[in-house]
Amino acid sequence: MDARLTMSGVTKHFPGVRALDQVSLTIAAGEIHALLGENGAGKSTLAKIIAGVHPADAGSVALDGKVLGAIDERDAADLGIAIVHQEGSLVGQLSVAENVFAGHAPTRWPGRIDRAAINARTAELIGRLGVAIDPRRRVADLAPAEAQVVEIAKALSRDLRVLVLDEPTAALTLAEANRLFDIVRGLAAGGVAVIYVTHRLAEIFALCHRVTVLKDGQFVGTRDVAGTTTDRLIQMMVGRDVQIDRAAAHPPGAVVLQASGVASLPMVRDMSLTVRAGEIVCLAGLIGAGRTEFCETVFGARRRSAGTVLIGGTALDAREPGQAMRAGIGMVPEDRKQAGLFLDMSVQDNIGVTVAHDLARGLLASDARAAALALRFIAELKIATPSPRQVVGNLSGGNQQKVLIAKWLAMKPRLLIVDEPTRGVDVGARAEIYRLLRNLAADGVALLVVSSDLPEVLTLADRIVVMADGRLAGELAGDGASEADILRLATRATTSLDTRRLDRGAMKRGATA
Amino acid sequence: MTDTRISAPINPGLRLLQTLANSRELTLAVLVGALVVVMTVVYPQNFPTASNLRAVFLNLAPVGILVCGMMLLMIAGTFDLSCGSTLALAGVWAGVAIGWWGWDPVTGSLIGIAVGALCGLVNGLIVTAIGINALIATLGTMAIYRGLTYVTAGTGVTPISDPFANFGRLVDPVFGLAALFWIMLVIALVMGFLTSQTPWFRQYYFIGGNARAAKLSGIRVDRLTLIGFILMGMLAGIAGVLYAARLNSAVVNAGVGIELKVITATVLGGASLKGGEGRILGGILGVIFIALVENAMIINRVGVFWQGIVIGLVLLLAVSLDRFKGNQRA
Repeated sequence: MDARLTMSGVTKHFPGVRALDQVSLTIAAGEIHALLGENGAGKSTLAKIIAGVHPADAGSVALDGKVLGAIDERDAADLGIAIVHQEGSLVGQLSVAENVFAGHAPTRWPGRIDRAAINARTAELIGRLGVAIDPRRRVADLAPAEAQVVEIAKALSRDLRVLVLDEPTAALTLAEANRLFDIVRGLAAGGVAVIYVTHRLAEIFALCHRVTVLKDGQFVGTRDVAGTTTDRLIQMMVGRDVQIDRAAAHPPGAVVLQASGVASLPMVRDMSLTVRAGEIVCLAGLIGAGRTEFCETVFGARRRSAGTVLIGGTALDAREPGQAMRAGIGMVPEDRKQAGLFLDMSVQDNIGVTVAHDLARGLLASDARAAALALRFIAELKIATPSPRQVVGNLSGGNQQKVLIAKWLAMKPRLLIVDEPTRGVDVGARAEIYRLLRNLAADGVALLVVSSDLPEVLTLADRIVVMADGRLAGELAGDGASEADILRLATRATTSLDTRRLDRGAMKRGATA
Repeated sequence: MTDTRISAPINPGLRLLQTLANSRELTLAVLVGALVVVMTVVYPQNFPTASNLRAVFLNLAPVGILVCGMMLLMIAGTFDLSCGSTLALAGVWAGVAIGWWGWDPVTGSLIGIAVGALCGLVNGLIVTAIGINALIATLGTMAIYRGLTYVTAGTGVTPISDPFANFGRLVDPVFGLAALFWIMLVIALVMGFLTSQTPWFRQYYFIGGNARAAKLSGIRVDRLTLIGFILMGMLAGIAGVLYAARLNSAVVNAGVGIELKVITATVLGGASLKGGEGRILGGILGVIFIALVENAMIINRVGVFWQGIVIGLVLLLAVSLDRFKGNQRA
């Protein structure tokens, strides 16, 4: 095999952080090469340097033996290097074909885009991936899996040599992920070098030839996937053995949250559940089942159209989050960047926002008290930050998540709702977050955890409540439940791709309301 | 260029120097100082005279009052283009109450300020309750309030009344600076104190930083935004009444184009359109800088036609600085 991409001594600094330190890596044509590491290990930074998003501070990148100088994203695209980001790079208002040929559409005199040509070429490219999507459809109307196919077709629209996939299966179902794997295998068979960034170890074993592990910006090692195991990879990632066990069940206390018949149309139709003090209740279900929306309704961030919510036996009619917070409810939202954190503000500001008035001396804000509070949580949750004044946007994903949780612990909640506690968080930080949630429960906090990660549900839950189509689908004891039990309940209602698409539209509308 | 907030611990002396170098306020203060020195050296007869400086301070006062409100709104990630029209409408209503109806100056002034607050309330309701973005909402009310000014008083109210005019002409005995300036100074000090020291006003930074996260953190985003617009309207009302008092005349085209100067000064002072940053002190320094640039143009006998060009360039320059800072962090 000849080396398609060779990186040597690549180093990248961000203010206060060394994101990559002397990383060297060789990827052959036709190879699927996994990049593995905790959050903040430097995977995404490496991917972005390859794709010309960031320039490297030192070191070199060579494509087919030719050293690339300072390149930008356009240069990278022209060289046949494409990156498919987690967030996606498509413009929702434009058609599939316009997106695929964004920036290099063939034109007819006098400079008009040749729509017929791009539609035909797009249909052909997408067809090569074994999928059929009408090139004239608007991207905003596509399901996540279809959008991803369009991203890859966009990469294929040029002479593709290196494809970087950053957490591509995050929004996909199992079947969709398997189809994506087939596509990726096909591309590799055609000589494309594929760099596959992921957290999911199972995918590495299913798909990749070799895997490189990064830790704290440093190269740890490259292994042949065939010659390694999950445990060994985890050990390379965290530098130690990680044990995630079920905690011994402890006797729950009084009922803290009792929701009955809660509705917030169109996503939440009729939902009831109880959470007791000291208990971890996991809310499971498919994407679009209305779990997040149910939590937002309880928290007062969404209008409730029916039902009752009792907190400690007292009716709560929260019309805004402040009211729910006064009743002792905290909510760690799913999307920490959009809905959780103030990324341009300091760790201290973020942690203190829920208790700003308590931190004041009289009418005046007290910087000393806010700093003391932040330092306490930095120590307690082991948040890796040089100081409480560090801008949160510069921290790694796992540390951002800890700041977000600290922000809610600061208000000492009776009920803490945690929506996807470990999304985009690596194995090491994940174990710490589980430990943290368990300790909270042991201290008598009632925990309602929304999670789409079934092993996580089975690890954490004292009780599992399953939601489907906005309704209560069933309840399971945490001990002894299996993934199959949960899936059986979650899929009891019919969820076709079409209704899911409708639901996504409704969620977007709900979010802007 | 390193942002001090995210750099590793370094020795305190260097850190102080870095803070100063990164401070928009300090940069502006140096610019203002440099401008003063240059003008004093080049035009010793015209610039450093008591009458010229008094005129500069008098002229910048209404803009300074508006900047206090605009800075608060821009911290929250929004803005108000209708402030100049609000200023005129408030001045005209004060003029009508005092000059035509014969009410006493205090009540008449309060009427003007109340009209300003009402204009702000309407702006705020359009933005928060209806959900129209601030650009379109206040562009619309800018035209409407100006129209209401013409409808109310046609060509204006001149003269208003002697006691009212006496207040407008009031100067302090020591420096001979107009009451208008001192009122601006008090407003700026109060607003500066509130926005930097009180947790209640600090909530505006969170709204500008991430409105959705602010809402989910229990901050009443809509209510605070509404209050911000009302405060902006009240300040425009105060500026309008004082402007009318100074001229003893409620002029219907008072404050035309003033929003350009106000937003320029606010952005120059460290606010950004995406919100979450800026301080009142910066805004006031921005106002002083623009006032000095205008004064320099007048002393240089640069035609008035050039003023808009220069102010526009200053605005674009300030925004470019902002872009540069944003790039540094990415």
